[in-house]
Amino acid sequence: MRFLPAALLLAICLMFATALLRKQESITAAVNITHIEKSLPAFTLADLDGGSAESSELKGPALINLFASWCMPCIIEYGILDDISRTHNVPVYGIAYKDNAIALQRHKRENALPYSRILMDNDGVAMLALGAKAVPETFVMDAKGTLVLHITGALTPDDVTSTIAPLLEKLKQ
Amino acid sequence: MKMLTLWLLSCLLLAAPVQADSTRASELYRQLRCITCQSQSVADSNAPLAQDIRRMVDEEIKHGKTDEEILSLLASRYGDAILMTPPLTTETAPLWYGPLTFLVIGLLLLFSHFRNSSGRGVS
Repeated sequence: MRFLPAALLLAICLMFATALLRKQESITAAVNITHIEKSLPAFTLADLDGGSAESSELKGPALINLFASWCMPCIIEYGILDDISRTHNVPVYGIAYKDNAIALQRHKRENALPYSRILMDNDGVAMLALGAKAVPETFVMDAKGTLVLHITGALTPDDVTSTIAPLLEKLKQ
Repeated sequence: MKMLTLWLLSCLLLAAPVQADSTRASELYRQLRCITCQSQSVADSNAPLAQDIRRMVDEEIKHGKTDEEILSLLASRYGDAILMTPPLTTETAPLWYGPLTFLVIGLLLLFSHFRNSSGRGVS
Protein backbone atom coordinates (compact mmCIF):
# COMPACT_ATOMS: atom_id res chain seq x y z
CA MET A 1 0.00 0.00 0.00
CA ARG A 2 2.87 2.34 0.83
CA PHE A 3 4.44 2.03 -2.63
CA LEU A 4 1.16 1.86 -4.55
CA PRO A 5 1.01 5.56 -5.58
CA ALA A 6 4.63 5.50 -6.77
CA ALA A 7 4.02 2.24 -8.65
CA LEU A 8 0.92 3.69 -10.32
CA LEU A 9 2.83 6.83 -11.29
CA LEU A 10 5.61 4.71 -12.77
CA ALA A 11 3.09 2.63 -14.70
CA ILE A 12 1.51 5.78 -16.17
CA CYS A 13 4.93 7.16 -17.15
CA LEU A 14 5.77 3.87 -18.86
CA MET A 15 2.45 3.93 -20.70
CA PHE A 16 3.11 7.46 -22.04
CA ALA A 17 6.70 6.60 -22.97
CA THR A 18 5.59 3.48 -24.87
CA ALA A 19 2.93 5.44 -26.78
CA LEU A 20 5.40 8.19 -27.68
CA LEU A 21 8.13 5.80 -28.80
CA ARG A 22 5.71 3.76 -30.91
CA LYS A 23 4.73 6.91 -32.81
CA GLN A 24 8.37 7.80 -33.47
CA GLU A 25 9.10 4.52 -35.26
CA SER A 26 7.49 5.74 -38.47
CA ILE A 27 8.66 9.35 -38.40
CA THR A 28 12.17 10.36 -39.41
CA ALA A 29 14.21 13.36 -40.62
CA ALA A 30 13.43 17.08 -40.74
CA VAL A 31 10.10 16.77 -42.53
CA ASN A 32 7.63 14.09 -41.48
CA ILE A 33 8.19 10.96 -43.50
CA THR A 34 5.70 8.18 -42.89
CA HIS A 35 5.84 4.74 -44.43
CA ILE A 36 2.32 3.82 -45.54
CA GLU A 37 0.64 1.21 -47.67
CA LYS A 38 -2.60 2.27 -49.29
CA SER A 39 -3.95 2.25 -52.81
CA LEU A 40 -4.06 5.48 -54.74
CA PRO A 41 -7.66 6.62 -54.18
CA ALA A 42 -9.96 7.28 -57.11
CA PHE A 43 -10.50 10.94 -58.01
CA THR A 44 -11.03 13.00 -61.13
CA LEU A 45 -9.36 16.35 -61.58
CA ALA A 46 -9.02 18.96 -64.30
CA ASP A 47 -5.75 18.85 -66.21
CA LEU A 48 -3.97 22.19 -66.57
CA ASP A 49 -3.37 21.42 -70.25
CA GLY A 50 -7.08 20.81 -70.82
CA GLY A 51 -9.58 18.04 -70.22
CA SER A 52 -9.73 15.95 -67.11
CA ALA A 53 -7.71 13.11 -65.62
CA GLU A 54 -8.55 10.07 -63.53
CA SER A 55 -6.15 9.18 -60.74
CA SER A 56 -5.81 5.74 -62.37
CA GLU A 57 -3.97 7.47 -65.22
CA LEU A 58 -1.09 8.27 -62.87
CA LYS A 59 1.38 5.42 -63.29
CA GLY A 60 4.10 4.46 -60.82
CA PRO A 61 6.77 4.29 -59.74
CA ALA A 62 6.23 8.01 -59.43
CA LEU A 63 6.01 10.92 -57.06
CA ILE A 64 2.75 12.77 -56.46
CA ASN A 65 3.37 16.26 -55.16
CA LEU A 66 0.66 18.50 -53.74
CA PHE A 67 1.66 22.11 -54.36
CA ALA A 68 0.33 25.58 -55.12
CA SER A 69 1.64 28.56 -57.02
CA TRP A 70 1.06 30.67 -53.87
CA CYS A 71 3.11 28.32 -51.67
CA MET A 72 6.70 29.43 -51.02
CA PRO A 73 8.06 26.13 -49.59
CA CYS A 74 6.71 24.41 -52.73
CA ILE A 75 8.85 26.67 -54.93
CA ILE A 76 11.91 25.78 -52.85
CA GLU A 77 11.44 22.05 -53.44
CA TYR A 78 10.98 22.25 -57.24
CA GLY A 79 14.74 21.80 -57.76
CA ILE A 80 14.85 18.76 -55.46
CA LEU A 81 11.85 17.15 -57.19
CA ASP A 82 13.41 17.80 -60.58
CA ASP A 83 16.66 16.15 -59.43
CA ILE A 84 14.75 13.08 -58.21
CA SER A 85 12.84 12.85 -61.47
CA ARG A 86 16.00 13.05 -63.62
CA THR A 87 18.25 10.88 -61.45
CA HIS A 88 15.76 8.07 -60.92
CA ASN A 89 13.85 8.50 -64.17
CA VAL A 90 10.45 8.71 -62.49
CA PRO A 91 7.63 11.12 -63.28
CA VAL A 92 6.50 13.71 -60.75
CA TYR A 93 2.78 14.43 -60.93
CA GLY A 94 1.76 17.80 -59.56
CA ILE A 95 -1.60 18.36 -57.91
CA ALA A 96 -2.23 22.08 -57.52
CA TYR A 97 -4.35 22.83 -54.44
CA LYS A 98 -6.69 25.85 -54.38
CA ASP A 99 -5.10 27.44 -57.42
CA ASN A 100 -6.38 28.73 -60.72
CA ALA A 101 -5.41 27.99 -64.29
CA ILE A 102 -4.25 31.53 -65.14
CA ALA A 103 -2.02 31.81 -62.07
CA LEU A 104 -0.66 28.32 -62.69
CA GLN A 105 0.15 28.97 -66.34
CA ARG A 106 2.00 32.15 -65.34
CA HIS A 107 3.76 30.24 -62.56
CA LYS A 108 4.73 27.55 -65.08
CA ARG A 109 6.28 30.17 -67.40
CA GLU A 110 8.21 31.82 -64.56
CA ASN A 111 9.50 28.65 -62.87
CA ALA A 112 11.07 25.41 -64.02
CA LEU A 113 8.31 23.14 -62.77
CA PRO A 114 9.35 19.51 -62.27
CA TYR A 115 5.96 18.04 -63.17
CA SER A 116 5.20 15.75 -66.08
CA ARG A 117 1.52 16.52 -65.58
CA ILE A 118 -0.33 19.13 -63.51
CA LEU A 119 -3.82 18.44 -62.20
CA MET A 120 -5.95 21.06 -60.48
CA ASP A 121 -7.61 20.36 -57.13
CA ASN A 122 -9.62 23.49 -56.44
CA ASP A 123 -12.15 21.79 -54.16
CA GLY A 124 -9.66 19.68 -52.20
CA VAL A 125 -11.05 16.44 -53.63
CA ALA A 126 -7.62 14.81 -54.06
CA MET A 127 -6.33 16.44 -50.89
CA LEU A 128 -9.05 14.75 -48.81
CA ALA A 129 -8.90 11.47 -50.73
CA LEU A 130 -5.15 11.26 -50.11
CA GLY A 131 -5.45 12.27 -46.45
CA ALA A 132 -3.19 15.27 -46.96
CA LYS A 133 -3.40 18.34 -44.75
CA ALA A 134 -1.51 21.12 -46.49
CA VAL A 135 0.98 21.94 -49.22
CA PRO A 136 3.64 20.84 -49.90
CA GLU A 137 3.06 17.14 -49.36
CA THR A 138 4.53 14.34 -51.44
CA PHE A 139 3.61 10.70 -51.93
CA VAL A 140 5.77 7.98 -53.43
CA MET A 141 3.74 5.48 -55.46
CA ASP A 142 4.94 2.06 -56.61
CA ALA A 143 4.26 0.37 -59.95
CA LYS A 144 1.09 -1.28 -58.60
CA GLY A 145 -0.42 2.09 -57.69
CA THR A 146 0.19 1.69 -53.98
CA LEU A 147 1.24 4.76 -52.02
CA VAL A 148 4.24 3.71 -49.95
CA LEU A 149 5.61 6.95 -48.53
CA HIS A 150 3.92 10.13 -47.30
CA ILE A 151 6.09 13.20 -46.83
CA THR A 152 4.63 16.30 -45.20
CA GLY A 153 6.48 19.58 -45.57
CA ALA A 154 9.16 20.65 -48.01
CA LEU A 155 11.69 18.02 -48.99
CA THR A 156 15.32 18.47 -48.07
CA PRO A 157 18.34 16.94 -49.88
CA ASP A 158 18.95 14.84 -46.74
CA ASP A 159 15.46 13.31 -46.99
CA VAL A 160 16.17 12.37 -50.59
CA THR A 161 19.52 10.74 -49.77
CA SER A 162 18.36 8.94 -46.65
CA THR A 163 14.86 7.77 -47.61
CA ILE A 164 13.48 8.65 -51.03
CA ALA A 165 16.40 7.65 -53.30
CA PRO A 166 16.90 4.18 -51.73
CA LEU A 167 13.15 3.58 -51.84
CA LEU A 168 12.84 4.56 -55.51
CA GLU A 169 15.76 2.28 -56.43
CA LYS A 170 14.07 -0.56 -54.56
CA LEU A 171 10.75 0.11 -56.32
CA LYS A 172 12.40 0.04 -59.73
CA GLN A 173 13.95 -3.41 -59.16
CA MET B 1 -57.40 28.78 -51.23
CA LYS B 2 -57.13 25.04 -51.79
CA MET B 3 -54.36 25.56 -54.30
CA LEU B 4 -52.47 27.80 -51.87
CA THR B 5 -52.76 25.21 -49.10
CA LEU B 6 -51.52 22.48 -51.44
CA TRP B 7 -48.61 24.65 -52.57
CA LEU B 8 -47.62 25.47 -48.98
CA LEU B 9 -47.88 21.81 -48.00
CA SER B 10 -45.69 20.66 -50.89
CA CYS B 11 -43.12 23.38 -50.04
CA LEU B 12 -43.01 22.12 -46.44
CA LEU B 13 -42.68 18.49 -47.56
CA LEU B 14 -39.86 19.35 -49.93
CA ALA B 15 -38.05 21.51 -47.38
CA ALA B 16 -38.17 18.95 -44.56
CA PRO B 17 -35.47 16.55 -45.90
CA VAL B 18 -33.19 19.49 -46.78
CA GLN B 19 -33.56 20.83 -43.24
CA ALA B 20 -32.86 17.35 -41.80
CA ASP B 21 -29.74 16.97 -43.97
CA SER B 22 -28.53 20.41 -42.93
CA THR B 23 -28.99 19.58 -39.23
CA ARG B 24 -27.17 16.26 -39.71
CA ALA B 25 -24.32 17.99 -41.54
CA SER B 26 -23.97 20.64 -38.80
CA GLU B 27 -23.83 17.93 -36.15
CA LEU B 28 -21.15 16.06 -38.12
CA TYR B 29 -19.10 19.27 -38.55
CA ARG B 30 -19.09 19.59 -34.75
CA GLN B 31 -17.85 16.00 -34.35
CA LEU B 32 -14.86 16.60 -36.66
CA ARG B 33 -11.65 18.34 -35.65
CA CYS B 34 -10.03 20.89 -37.95
CA ILE B 35 -6.63 19.23 -38.29
CA THR B 36 -4.84 22.34 -39.49
CA CYS B 37 -6.16 24.56 -36.67
CA GLN B 38 -5.71 24.70 -32.91
CA SER B 39 -8.61 23.29 -30.89
CA GLN B 40 -11.32 24.06 -33.41
CA SER B 41 -13.97 21.86 -34.90
CA VAL B 42 -14.67 21.79 -38.63
CA ALA B 43 -17.88 23.70 -37.81
CA ASP B 44 -15.95 26.59 -36.22
CA SER B 45 -13.07 26.83 -38.67
CA ASN B 46 -12.69 28.81 -41.86
CA ALA B 47 -9.46 27.03 -42.84
CA PRO B 48 -9.49 25.88 -46.49
CA LEU B 49 -9.26 22.21 -45.46
CA ALA B 50 -12.20 22.61 -43.04
CA GLN B 51 -14.25 24.11 -45.88
CA ASP B 52 -13.30 21.13 -48.06
CA ILE B 53 -14.32 18.70 -45.30
CA ARG B 54 -17.70 20.46 -44.91
CA ARG B 55 -18.27 20.15 -48.65
CA MET B 56 -17.28 16.47 -48.55
CA VAL B 57 -19.64 15.77 -45.62
CA ASP B 58 -22.51 17.45 -47.53
CA GLU B 59 -21.81 15.32 -50.60
CA GLU B 60 -21.55 12.08 -48.63
CA ILE B 61 -24.91 12.85 -46.97
CA LYS B 62 -26.42 13.42 -50.41
CA HIS B 63 -25.01 10.04 -51.48
CA GLY B 64 -26.91 8.41 -48.63
CA LYS B 65 -23.98 7.60 -46.33
CA THR B 66 -24.70 7.18 -42.62
CA ASP B 67 -23.00 9.35 -39.97
CA GLU B 68 -20.81 6.42 -38.90
CA GLU B 69 -19.72 5.77 -42.49
CA ILE B 70 -18.76 9.42 -43.00
CA LEU B 71 -16.84 9.61 -39.72
CA SER B 72 -15.01 6.33 -40.33
CA LEU B 73 -14.16 7.37 -43.91
CA LEU B 74 -12.45 10.53 -42.64
CA ALA B 75 -10.81 8.66 -39.76
CA SER B 76 -9.39 6.12 -42.23
CA ARG B 77 -7.69 8.98 -44.09
CA TYR B 78 -6.61 11.24 -41.22
CA GLY B 79 -6.59 8.90 -38.26
CA ASP B 80 -8.65 9.15 -35.10
CA ALA B 81 -7.18 12.61 -34.49
CA ILE B 82 -9.83 14.03 -36.82
CA LEU B 83 -12.59 12.96 -34.41
CA MET B 84 -13.41 15.42 -31.63
CA THR B 85 -14.14 12.38 -29.44
CA PRO B 86 -11.46 9.83 -30.25
CA PRO B 87 -12.46 6.18 -29.73
CA LEU B 88 -11.03 4.19 -26.84
CA THR B 89 -8.00 2.26 -28.15
CA THR B 90 -4.66 1.24 -26.64
CA GLU B 91 -3.17 4.46 -28.05
CA THR B 92 -5.88 6.75 -26.69
CA ALA B 93 -6.32 4.92 -23.36
CA PRO B 94 -3.92 7.32 -21.55
CA LEU B 95 -6.08 10.25 -22.70
CA TRP B 96 -9.25 8.64 -21.36
CA TYR B 97 -7.93 7.14 -18.16
CA GLY B 98 -4.88 9.37 -17.48
CA PRO B 99 -6.73 12.18 -15.64
CA LEU B 100 -8.75 9.72 -13.52
CA THR B 101 -5.62 7.73 -12.68
CA PHE B 102 -3.75 10.87 -11.64
CA LEU B 103 -6.75 11.88 -9.50
CA VAL B 104 -6.72 8.47 -7.79
CA ILE B 105 -2.95 8.70 -7.25
CA GLY B 106 -3.37 12.19 -5.77
CA LEU B 107 -6.13 11.02 -3.44
CA LEU B 108 -4.03 8.01 -2.37
CA LEU B 109 -1.07 10.30 -1.66
CA LEU B 110 -3.30 12.66 0.34
CA PHE B 111 -4.85 9.76 2.23
CA SER B 112 -1.44 8.27 3.05
CA HIS B 113 -0.10 11.72 4.09
CA PHE B 114 -3.00 12.41 6.50
CA ARG B 115 -2.87 8.88 7.89
CA ASN B 116 0.85 9.27 8.65
CA SER B 117 0.26 12.73 10.18
CA SER B 118 -2.56 11.50 12.44
CA GLY B 119 -0.46 8.46 13.40
CA ARG B 120 2.39 10.72 14.54
CA GLY B 121 -0.11 12.97 16.37
CA VAL B 122 -1.44 10.04 18.46
CA SER B 123 2.02 8.73 19.39
